[in-house]
Amino acid sequence: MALEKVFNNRILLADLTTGKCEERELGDKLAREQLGGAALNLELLRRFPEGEPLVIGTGLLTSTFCPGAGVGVVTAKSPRSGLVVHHPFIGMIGIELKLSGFDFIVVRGRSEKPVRLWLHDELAEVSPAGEVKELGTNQVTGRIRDEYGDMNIHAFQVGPAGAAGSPLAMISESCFGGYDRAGLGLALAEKGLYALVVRGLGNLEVADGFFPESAKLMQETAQSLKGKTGIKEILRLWAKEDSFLPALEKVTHRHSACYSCPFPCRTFGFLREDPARKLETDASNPGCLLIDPQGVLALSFLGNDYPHVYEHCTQLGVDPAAVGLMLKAEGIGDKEAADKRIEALVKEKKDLINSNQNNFHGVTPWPDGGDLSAALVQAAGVFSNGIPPAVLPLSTPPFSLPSDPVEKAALVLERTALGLILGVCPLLLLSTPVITPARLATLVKLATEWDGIGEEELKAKAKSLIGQTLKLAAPREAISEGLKPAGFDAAWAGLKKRYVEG
Amino acid sequence: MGEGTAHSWTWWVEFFEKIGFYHQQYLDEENFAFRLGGVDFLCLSGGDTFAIAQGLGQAGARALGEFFSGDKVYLGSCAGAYLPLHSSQEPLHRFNFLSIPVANIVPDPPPGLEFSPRTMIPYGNRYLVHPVRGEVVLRPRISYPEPTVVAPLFGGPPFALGGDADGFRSRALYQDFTPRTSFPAGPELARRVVQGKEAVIEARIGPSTLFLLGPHLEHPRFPSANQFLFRLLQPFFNRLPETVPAGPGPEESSPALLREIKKELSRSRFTVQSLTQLSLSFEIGRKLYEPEKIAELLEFAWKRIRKFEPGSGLPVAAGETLRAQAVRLRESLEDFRTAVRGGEEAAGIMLKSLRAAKRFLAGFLPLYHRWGCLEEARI
Repeated sequence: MALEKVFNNRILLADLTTGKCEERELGDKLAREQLGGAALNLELLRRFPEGEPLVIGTGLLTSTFCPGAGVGVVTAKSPRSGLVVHHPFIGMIGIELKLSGFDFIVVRGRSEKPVRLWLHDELAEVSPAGEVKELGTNQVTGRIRDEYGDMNIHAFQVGPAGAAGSPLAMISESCFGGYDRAGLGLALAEKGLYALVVRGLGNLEVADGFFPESAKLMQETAQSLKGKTGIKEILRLWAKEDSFLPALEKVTHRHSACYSCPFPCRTFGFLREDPARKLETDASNPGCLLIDPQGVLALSFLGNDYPHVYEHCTQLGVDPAAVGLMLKAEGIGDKEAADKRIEALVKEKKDLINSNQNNFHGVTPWPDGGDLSAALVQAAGVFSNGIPPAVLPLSTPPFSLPSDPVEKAALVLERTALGLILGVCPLLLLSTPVITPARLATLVKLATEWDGIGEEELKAKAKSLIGQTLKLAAPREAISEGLKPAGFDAAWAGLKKRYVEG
Repeated sequence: MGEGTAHSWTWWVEFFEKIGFYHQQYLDEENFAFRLGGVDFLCLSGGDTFAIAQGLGQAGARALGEFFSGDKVYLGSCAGAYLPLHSSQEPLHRFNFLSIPVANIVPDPPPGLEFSPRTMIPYGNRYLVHPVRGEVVLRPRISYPEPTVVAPLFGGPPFALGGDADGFRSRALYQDFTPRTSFPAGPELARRVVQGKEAVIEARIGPSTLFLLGPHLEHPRFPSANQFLFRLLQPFFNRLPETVPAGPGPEESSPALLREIKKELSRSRFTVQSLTQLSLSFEIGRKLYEPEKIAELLEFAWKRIRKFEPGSGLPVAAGETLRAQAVRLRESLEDFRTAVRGGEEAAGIMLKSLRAAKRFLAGFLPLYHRWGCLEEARI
């Protein structure tokens, strides 16, 4: 089996109590059984249960030429919901992690002082991170890059919100926020781990035939999403009207895509410079990258101020979607009032439950469109709720969707699961049906030369991941009544039967 | 690997590693004169021939003359092929060992060719031109199973011998080009200056044999060129001492030291990677220097330091020296980065970093060849 074309064969056990790191071989057997990403993370949680572990892993195809293959996954118990959740980190961190020489990291124990885990060139160092409590994520990222001398260093970090013990603290991908709705930022802060810093200069061999097959799939994927650019494409599907658009267009400088992805769904907003500027900016920090559609939507009621408030949330490392719900409920209407109130919410350690906001197990909901299948996906709580809980009808050809809400929810859950096992962006998988399990299986077969691997095994693994994760925690019944559309209870029972009891 | 050389000397290191020969020394202008006597094969690769000659000086020229008086082998590729040729230009005139004309010294600058170290430089009252860059197709002129060999040409000479002469044998001709050849002033000039000329010459000085290679037959990404080079040198390989076997590790070794060196080297790698993204280029003497050249040297070291078995180490004394060199290398690269960011003059600091990288490799490679994970010969 050609493990060297997909993995480094290296698991890192990082004990924050002792500050020591130990390496273990990943091995063909474990990789073949669990494939990678969230599924392998879960297995490592089981194998190394001491010290309240949190597992950070890469997908089987992460950092290959497969479209969207830049994803890594954190698997841990959410401080907000108490449930085990799989949270994707997208952007460049997944590929930097894999090419730093580490496939999976089991973080255990707790450091008394703030530390960072620095991974580079198959070397792992636990070092002090004392500055983080006062500095925003942008400043910390800048300092780390200055210290180590490379602007391509990425930090998966906890901001001041995590340092303050806020349940709304989220893991921030460098200074750009992320999709963490599970409060994993607080989980990391409670362990004393304030940043995972990665730089990947390694490489993986490319299997024969892999590149042409990936290139073909990439072309077809790009064709299916032709003309779609920017976060507005996703916002439009959820917003009741386009009222968010003028503020966004006012600041839009450019759109960007993640590693190996043909869909540039991230929008960089210039907040302190003219967005029409094409030359290299003089400002060290001209604006922010808008990557989190749920967060942007929740703050869009602030009109022209929302991009600034969104940036403030990413600097603090606080869930902008939860913050948006709370600010709106309190009648906050402008940037100054919002900024003050956000700082207070962090200090007061407010969350959705003690703020009497609708929530799925303490986790921020998407705007309620009355769609039963979207409610089911969120109720399952298996994946970070920052990922849209529905197919995004952006592509040509479109998805062929089942009418039954349980089947529809299953489609979303299983495509997301597949993405997080293989390390392929779930947003991309939910945006176009072109990347099928069969096409992914072809790529896996080419890369690994595994006997017998095919579409059915991938689908079964995705289903198994959902089922095993659902079984892991207390009954997932803590859902606000206001988030249960008509028919919810019966449909929820149907979903559980499919994965847990079936 | 001294003044004037860039990174292509590592290609010779890798070529000899491929044939299973690890007993190597790395000479610069400081140790060239007194260590050359103990060497059987001298390889000199690419760079700025003028700067190389300047660095070696009179003492180096004298040492080279003594080297040729023994029964030795000289392998000169690119700049190394120009060095022993007769020249009226200072300081090359100290190295007038062979009278072989080259075809790329022209009386007038050809139209369409810009003045730059890579394409054309003044040479006395004439001009040294490089109308071809990249792949070239060679026709072997020895008994060889393949009709052609592909190799890269980066400024090395086309010789104008016009066939075998007394003491000189033509071993390959420039036959053709490939779709990956670039012509800075168009293909017509390339055909006139290069095509049909000698690419490889075997010469004698006293009992010594010199191989002058216009293209880099030793380049690691051209296996057919390596095979041809191996065939050329095969009659001389009985002179190579027995390969020094690798490990077990030294009796007193320090894995922690090896790890510290890896950390320093890793930090140097990504500091220089960040510099390579800035499109920096410095014209120093008659050569262009870029951070990419330092990056190549560090990658060369990195590929090899990774091969040490997990848990193995380096002998303590040598390891401490190497660690100090690794720290100096990292610090010089950080100074380079600081200078670039501050808009300061950085050419001198860049050269300092290049020297530090070469010194690190000169210290590391013998340890790697002795204690690192060695591979089976591949040629």
